[in-house]
Amino acid sequence: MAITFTGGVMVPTVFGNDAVTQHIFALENQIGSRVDVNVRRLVVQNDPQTALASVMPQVKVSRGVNISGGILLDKAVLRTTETSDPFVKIRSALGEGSPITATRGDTVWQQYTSRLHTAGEQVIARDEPLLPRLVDTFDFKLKPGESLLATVISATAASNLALSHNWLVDCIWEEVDKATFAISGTVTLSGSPVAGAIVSVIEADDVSMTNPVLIKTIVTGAGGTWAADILTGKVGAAFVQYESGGTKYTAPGSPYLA
Amino acid sequence: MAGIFSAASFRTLGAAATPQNLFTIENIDATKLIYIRRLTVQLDATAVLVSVMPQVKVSRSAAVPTGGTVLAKAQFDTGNASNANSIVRGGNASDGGVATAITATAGTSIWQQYCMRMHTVVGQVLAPDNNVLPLLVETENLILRQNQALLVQVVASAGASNPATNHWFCNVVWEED
Repeated sequence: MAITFTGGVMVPTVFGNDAVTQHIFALENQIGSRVDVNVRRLVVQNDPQTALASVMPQVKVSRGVNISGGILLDKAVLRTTETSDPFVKIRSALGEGSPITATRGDTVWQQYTSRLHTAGEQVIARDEPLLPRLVDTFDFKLKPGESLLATVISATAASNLALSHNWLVDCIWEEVDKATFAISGTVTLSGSPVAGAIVSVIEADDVSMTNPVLIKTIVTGAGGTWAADILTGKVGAAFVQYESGGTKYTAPGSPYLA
Repeated sequence: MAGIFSAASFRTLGAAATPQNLFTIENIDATKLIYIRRLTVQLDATAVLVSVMPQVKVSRSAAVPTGGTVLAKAQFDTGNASNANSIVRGGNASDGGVATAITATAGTSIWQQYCMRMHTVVGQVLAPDNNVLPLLVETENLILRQNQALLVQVVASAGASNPATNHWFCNVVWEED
């Protein structure tokens, strides 16, 4: 399969949250995606501004689940000829008003950053890897439906003060397209092709429609034809609606297209 | 290869004793091999130490370790499952939590590393990755065969050099065939 996108994201400064747990970054390859995401680099930086004489926070990376909240970030491209899959989403926390809500998984990697035992002299902020550098060449893969979550874990709430800690995260990843199969059809009415019909294509894990996702809405052209791609191993379903002269039409769905 | 996996210990307090077994990875499978690709330690020491800092030594354990806390294994690709006979142990079951001692005896040291100490408790404290195996192992196989294990051990000149104000953790990446 081919690399379809290489890009990155820069998380705007995330302040500490006066709590022992703070999710600061999430990379989601949501269900409906046509790609695998290979994370090539993930780093954190911290500028602590007040003294902390106890142990500094750890930043732990896991395959998180149930991710929501925060703010969605723009994805930067290395090559403007490439486009990221719209189901690949990047989130960061933004202050107290927009925290990320998520459940951590098993820790993949972890990292201290720095603390000021006393506040004085120069403060250095370096790239601290949140995944081993090995991922430069060995694929750390997020399949559709999988996510990566970076979480600050502190020994006490006072170890990650909102007015002290300033977190940055940078991430680079590749997207690799997955195998698909084509489904297609023609919308007709009284035997004639219909232009302007709306065909909704849904993809799911199985014929029980587990994890359904709307992957495409197609407005048919003059020939009434429509087409879509379904991930290999999944099933598709298509449904049509059409309105003409105030009369609304639909038709039996075409389920279990596999 | 059947896949690449990683594991991370919990934040483990210094044992005020020497040596202290921090972390192990073992292979008890008769047919599968483990290739260690990276092994790191980090330390945040919050108290003054004016004598020499502890060394972290990595060796092939004299026997398969026991005790400790068996740690969860993470996958680089969820399509690959780690062998149940690949076992990673840490010295406690929660960050800063009570010790669950790993029983293991060090063999000949493969690599060693100083981490850090606070001669005076002043200024910024940084926490770089301390590689306790040479980076060469990313490409040059360090193999664990059946009933072989790696032991990460803190060796201090005195027990007082590794007090409970030392906060250790370890990370490891390995490949399985």
